[in-house]
Amino acid sequence: MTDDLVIPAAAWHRLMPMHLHLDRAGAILSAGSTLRKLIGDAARFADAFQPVATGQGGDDVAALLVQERLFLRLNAAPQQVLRGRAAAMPGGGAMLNLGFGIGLAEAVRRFSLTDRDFPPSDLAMELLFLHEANGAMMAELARYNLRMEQARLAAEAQAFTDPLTGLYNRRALVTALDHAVLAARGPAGRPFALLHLDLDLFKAINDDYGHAAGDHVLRTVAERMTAATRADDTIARMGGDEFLLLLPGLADERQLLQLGQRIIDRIEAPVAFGDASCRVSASAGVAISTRYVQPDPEVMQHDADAALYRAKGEGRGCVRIAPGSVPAPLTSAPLR
Amino acid sequence: MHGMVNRSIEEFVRSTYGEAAWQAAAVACGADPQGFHMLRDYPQELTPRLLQAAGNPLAKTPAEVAEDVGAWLAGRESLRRLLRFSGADFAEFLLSLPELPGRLRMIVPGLEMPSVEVAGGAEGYRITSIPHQPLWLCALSGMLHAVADDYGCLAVIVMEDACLSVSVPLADYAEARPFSIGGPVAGAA
Repeated sequence: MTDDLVIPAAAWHRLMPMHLHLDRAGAILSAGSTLRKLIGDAARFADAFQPVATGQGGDDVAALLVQERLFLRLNAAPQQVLRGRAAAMPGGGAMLNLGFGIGLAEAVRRFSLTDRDFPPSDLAMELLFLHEANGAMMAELARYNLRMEQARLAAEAQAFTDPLTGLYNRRALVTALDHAVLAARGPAGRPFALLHLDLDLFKAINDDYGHAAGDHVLRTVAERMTAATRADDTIARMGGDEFLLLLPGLADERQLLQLGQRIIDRIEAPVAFGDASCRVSASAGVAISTRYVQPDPEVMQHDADAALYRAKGEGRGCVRIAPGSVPAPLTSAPLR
Repeated sequence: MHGMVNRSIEEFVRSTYGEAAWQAAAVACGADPQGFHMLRDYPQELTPRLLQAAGNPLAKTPAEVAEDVGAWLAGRESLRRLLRFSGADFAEFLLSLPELPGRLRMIVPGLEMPSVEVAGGAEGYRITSIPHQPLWLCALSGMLHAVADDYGCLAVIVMEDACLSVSVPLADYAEARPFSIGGPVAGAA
């Protein structure tokens, strides 16, 4: 009759290396080889475990039998909680079969367990395999994402760069200008100026010395503009010998006139190309965000352009400020 | 073919023969020299073309390159460890090979491999793939060489008509490389 089936002790050990056989008083009659690695030579249930549900130790074997799921904290390593189930044995004792649950990987490390410690029916090895595979996959994906991110940044930088001068290009300037307009809105907004600069006498360089000289002059002008401005200013080559400078935080007319003139002065210094000494100049027009009730990128670009043509018309090599739609504050210097 | 397979071949070529060799192979077989996407599907016929292109400069056949890729993969620490989870010794590892495609699918959903069958025992094993895919068996053969070394076994692996024949004349030929299921052994090479 199966009810009276007697399982020899050797069979318990072979099938269930995590079993625990207790007598009615809580003395350990037998423990599986893997469980022994965890509980050492403990002789009583209370020496080895503390049930999580009750929070108190003891050898109350009857209490173990009534729970569907036992959670037992290891006295030797209180972070480790085993789970399992108990069944009544003839004569009043209990047989427990325990497992690791989610704390498996940690237990394997802590107690130096090997695959021989788990019966083939146990999914422990599969769980450890997944744990490890998951880590390896995450590392591979992280590497891959980093590569993609670097490629994206490189592509973006390329898309926003003028290849000849290394300055920003028109696309970058438009983006930066949109951001500056948004940041300038409202009473607490950050003002900015848009400086449109065009080289004078540049066509003669190309005509007299060739395009290589022209390219060299453009690169030199770019370096000089970069040196004359701040790190958070955006300098873009819009094409040909035309540049736009976005100057955040600058709204004072006198400062802008000085900055524009300083840039022009630097551009006017001779540029050596082989034996030739190339000379160009520049004219500039400035639009200031505070001169508008509601700054608009296109209106400001148009006004800066108009001021530039006024500078060209009034003798070149100078800076003109666009009047905008709001009168200049009284503290500003008069137009020259 | 799953991008993971092509990406493994790409990484093998890059790390073994260098970036220039990879670029040349990619151009020769029509792949993107920037590299494969891991989680994308590629046309089935691209993989043999890639193996052919990678082997050409070295006068290696696609089968030989596949074998090298298998050995290289099994030698990478993370994969080496994953493979060692399959058995406590090389014999157990061989007998658990039929579980390999399932294990791979468990880590990378959609990574389809032919199923593997193992027949025989201690006197010699015969490994077949269903459906029969010679290049896949070649890669497996390279992998088995590397795994046998890892277990410290001397194994003789021969590619026959439609199967791999494996015998293990010396199971304790050399010291096995350290492996613990809990994590990398400190100081392990």
